[in-house]
Amino acid sequence: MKKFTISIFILLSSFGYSQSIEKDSLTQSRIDNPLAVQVGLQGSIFTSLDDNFISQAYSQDIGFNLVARFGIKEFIGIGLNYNRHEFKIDDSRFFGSNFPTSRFHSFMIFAYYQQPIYKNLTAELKFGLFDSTIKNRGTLKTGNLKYNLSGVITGLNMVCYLSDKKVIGISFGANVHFSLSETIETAPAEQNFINKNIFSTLNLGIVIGN
Amino acid sequence: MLSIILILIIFGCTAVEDNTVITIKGVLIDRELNPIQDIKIELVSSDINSSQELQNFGFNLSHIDRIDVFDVSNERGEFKFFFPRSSLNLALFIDQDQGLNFQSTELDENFPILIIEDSSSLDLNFEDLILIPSE
Repeated sequence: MKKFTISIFILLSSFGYSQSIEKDSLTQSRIDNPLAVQVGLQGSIFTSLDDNFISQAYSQDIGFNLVARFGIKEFIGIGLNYNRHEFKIDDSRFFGSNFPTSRFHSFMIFAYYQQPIYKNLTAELKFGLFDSTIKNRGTLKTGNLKYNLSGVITGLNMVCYLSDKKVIGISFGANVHFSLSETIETAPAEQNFINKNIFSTLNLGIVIGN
Repeated sequence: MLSIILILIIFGCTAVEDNTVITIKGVLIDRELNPIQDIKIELVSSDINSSQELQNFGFNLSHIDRIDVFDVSNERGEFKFFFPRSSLNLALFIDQDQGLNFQSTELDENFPILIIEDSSSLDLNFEDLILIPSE
């Protein structure tokens, strides 16, 4: 599965590149530098999109999202993303008071393609891989629990730049995570319920750089 | 930094402290094998290790540590818990105000507590648990 997802990643990167070189000279370039760097900080809302483990066990709170993009060609590049949320156990069937709070954090690497839509408004489509951990803070008796989830992500992000120089912008987007790993040890009948989770993070904040 | 993140993501080399979720489930039934609905059943930590120990010393509430894990049996009498594999002695418990005890198949006495003696298993299915009125 890892080879498959890596292949998709490379394929999509190649697709983005072939699309970019077909742009005519009238298309406004956002990135003028050989290697453009953009960083962003956003508030983030975590939402489960299925009814599996994460959805049933945890109440999800707001968090934050850090992103860095490296534009390697016009309109395309790779990005790194760090996302963090605080969770609480939300269902009496799970874990109980021995694990009062939990922290979700996720690293992503993604390839993106950007398309100017209207004046200072740009849309970005991304595909990539993620590796997440839910750290359940336990008592001295029980110790901590760390659940790792990894898989593929896709996302759509809109940036509205505040000036024609396109240095600072307001960013709004959603990432959808498909967890494909089977790293949490559980009963065979519960493998899909525990390990296969689909969830989204909605992010709103600023981006700086070009 | 970039290479570390790449390695973490692609090869999944994330530190693991404990990554188990054991499931503890069963069906509550009466003597006529009818499912019993709406019974609050708890997963508790107990200082009693075995059914034999329970018979020898009896039961009182000081033997259990409530950990706020509970379920209410559905119309089919089913309940289910999710808990990490741990060093705790786990047991199922039905509060005495519900007027029911677990029927013991081996012991003469019946108790509101059922000791889980193989709690390291990932899948603990108790299938049919017969409840009888407590005295």
